[in-house]
Amino acid sequence: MKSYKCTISIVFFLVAALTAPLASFGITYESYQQNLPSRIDAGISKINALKTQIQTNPDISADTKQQTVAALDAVEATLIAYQADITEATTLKEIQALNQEILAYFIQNKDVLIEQIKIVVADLGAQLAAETQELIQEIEQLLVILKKTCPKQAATITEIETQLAQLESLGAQLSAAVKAKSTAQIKSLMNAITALSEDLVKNIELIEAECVVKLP
Amino acid sequence: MKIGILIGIIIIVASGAFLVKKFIKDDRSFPDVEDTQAPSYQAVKDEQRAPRDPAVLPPAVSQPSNTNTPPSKQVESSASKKDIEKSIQAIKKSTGEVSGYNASAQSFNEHEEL
Repeated sequence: MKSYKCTISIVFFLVAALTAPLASFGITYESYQQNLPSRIDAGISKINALKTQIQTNPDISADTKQQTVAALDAVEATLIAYQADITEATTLKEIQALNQEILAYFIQNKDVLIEQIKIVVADLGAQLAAETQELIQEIEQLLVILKKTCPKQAATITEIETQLAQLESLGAQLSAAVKAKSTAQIKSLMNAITALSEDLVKNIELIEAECVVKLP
Repeated sequence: MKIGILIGIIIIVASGAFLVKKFIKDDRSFPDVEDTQAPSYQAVKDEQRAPRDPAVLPPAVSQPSNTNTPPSKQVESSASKKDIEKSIQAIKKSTGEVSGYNASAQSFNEHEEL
């Protein structure tokens, strides 16, 4: 009798051990139904935030906007389709298979946001490089006049010429970084060019106050 | 008689030497058989000496060194105070645009992952 009870206990233990592993780790059909859509939602939210940031930025070129938003739209559409599949899945096996597929998709496309950001930053870098060239030409032309009209400002003019040479060098470096799509370098050079061009304007304003306003 | 012949030879040699020297100085050469279509030496010389058509002469006023600059952006060296101020305003505007592009780029975080 004792041995019979023992046998029943062992059978119960084995059945429980075979059916419990997923439940014991909290991985059930319900938990998948609850967690998977929220993970996908988080991904869609990130995509939408980036899309809005790109679309509302007036400095990004139309071509780049179109290209990057289209890439993000494609990923978003796939994630929305997975959400529908999860809702339709009726068994744990189905939902487990979906989980694996979604995980693989995330791993494969995890850098899609980074790639779009790289494209956007390169676009802005190229535009800043072009604007820098324009700025250099404008300042060079102004210097020709200032040398004649404001000869007493020779020291400041010389300083501007030095800054202008630095600006040209930074502009060339930025163009190279844009070609290489080196986001960190592009951002760093854009910062340097902005700071230098602001210093240049300060020197020009100095000459303006000291000389230009006093001209007849 | 002998002296006369000698003088004659000297005159002939001297004349020949003079002609050869003149020929070398003018850089003349005999045309090749295949080069008969080429313009004559005199025609080339005449063309070189002829006055140029005034229409093809370079302008008397020197051009600005930077030919890539759009004409609207060219500022004459004799610009007025108003022109200088206008030029300074254009520079400030360009600097503002540079700052704008930079601010836009810095607002994107490249460490964002899906």
